[in-house]
Amino acid sequence: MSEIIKIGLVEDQLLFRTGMKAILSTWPGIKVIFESAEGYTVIDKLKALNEVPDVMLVDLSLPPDGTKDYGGAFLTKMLCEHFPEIKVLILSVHDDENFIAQLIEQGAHGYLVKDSDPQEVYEAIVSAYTKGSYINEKTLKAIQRNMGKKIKPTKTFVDITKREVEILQLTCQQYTAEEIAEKLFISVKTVNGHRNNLLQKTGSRNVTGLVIYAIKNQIVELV
Amino acid sequence: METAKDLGFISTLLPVAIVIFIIAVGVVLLTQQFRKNLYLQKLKQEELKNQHQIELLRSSIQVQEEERKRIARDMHDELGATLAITRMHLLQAERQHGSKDEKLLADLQNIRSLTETSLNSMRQISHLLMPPQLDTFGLVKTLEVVAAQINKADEIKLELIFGGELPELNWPVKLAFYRIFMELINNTIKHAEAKLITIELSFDGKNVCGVYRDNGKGIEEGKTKVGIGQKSIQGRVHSLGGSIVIGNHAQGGLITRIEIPL
Repeated sequence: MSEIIKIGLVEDQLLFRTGMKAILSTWPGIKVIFESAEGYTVIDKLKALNEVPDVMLVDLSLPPDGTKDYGGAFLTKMLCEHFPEIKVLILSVHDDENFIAQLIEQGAHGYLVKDSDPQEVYEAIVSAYTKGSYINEKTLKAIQRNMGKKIKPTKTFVDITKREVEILQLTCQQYTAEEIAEKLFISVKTVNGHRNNLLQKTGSRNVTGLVIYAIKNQIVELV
Repeated sequence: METAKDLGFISTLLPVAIVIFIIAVGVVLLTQQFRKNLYLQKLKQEELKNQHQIELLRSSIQVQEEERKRIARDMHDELGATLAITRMHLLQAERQHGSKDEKLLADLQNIRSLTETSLNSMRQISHLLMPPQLDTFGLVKTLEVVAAQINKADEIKLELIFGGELPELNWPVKLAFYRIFMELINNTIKHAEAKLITIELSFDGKNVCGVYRDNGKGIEEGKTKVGIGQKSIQGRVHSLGGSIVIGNHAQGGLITRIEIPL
């Protein structure tokens, strides 16, 4: 990879922030260009920059803005609103499925516990940058279990074609557009075309949305 | 003449007697009224005292819970983050230096496993102090997490039954139910030799009702000593104006019914 992935770190715990920065700096191709100890200043700070990070690592529990809560969940929502092109990865001590599912629902592109293997953090950053999201098994299980509870008898199936279903299934298995094209004997362009159709039809904003849709409508199952 | 004199005497005495009688009745009525007032006043005072006591109880519970929440959060966020980054550094070090030196690798792995143990006990302690889900996701989800944890251990089964939609519970009520159920679960696990616990939650439009049952030994006959746990349960229910009944079920096992007005 010749491009440099620009990283933003939002974390109030100084030791963790500097430690994370040190670990990130050991990998070529990754550069921390933005740091913040609190969430409420992030949007304004980012607006003042001429280049924004590609991937933001956001802590779930951040200090409040005066008396107003401004945690990682809210920051994720704000980032999705103001900077939809930035991928948000949550880094949290919480390993509870409820938190994971909530954050993904609010637009996070991935969720990692803070005691993850640094290698996984690296993979998550690369995956979020190149594929748009990083969903590990824990996250998938959390989303699935959370959806399972919410499934109502009236399923709203959008009219998607057989081909689109195939592409959706392969996307959920973390295949890239190139790999899908090769598997289905079609061109990459067609794959991307189908994917765009899927995004439109399901009303999703990114691949994470597609994955959620696929689980919700039982197009894929976790084995 | 004598009778006339007598009559005259009576006719002068009678009004006096009537006046005295009226005064006597008046005095009796007045003292009664006075006593009644005094009694009412005492009752009012007693009520005020009771109210004051409940308020004291409530605020002491509140202070304690707030402190717990703060400690749990600080521990979870600060200590947790430090331990987590320590683990990350160790993993990096294992990768960078471990391949050259086997002894060093073993040492690093040992330290990492110690860090992991600390991280796990930190999580456990902070969750016991204050479950992080309760504030954000409510009582039902928190109990589901508890049930999942208990059922995973596979020694005792915990079943949750939710009768219809529960309304949004305010913080003291959900906290009270959570703490009470946890205390009861602990008691069951420690003493009851039960295989199954069921917790049922329902709402009748006015009261939130929680019924806790296990299929264990129940309360021993003749045992009247009230433990600290029991006292704290009663204190919590009392402080919220609720009621609690604890007893043995006809089919064996313990049954506790708690009602708290919303």
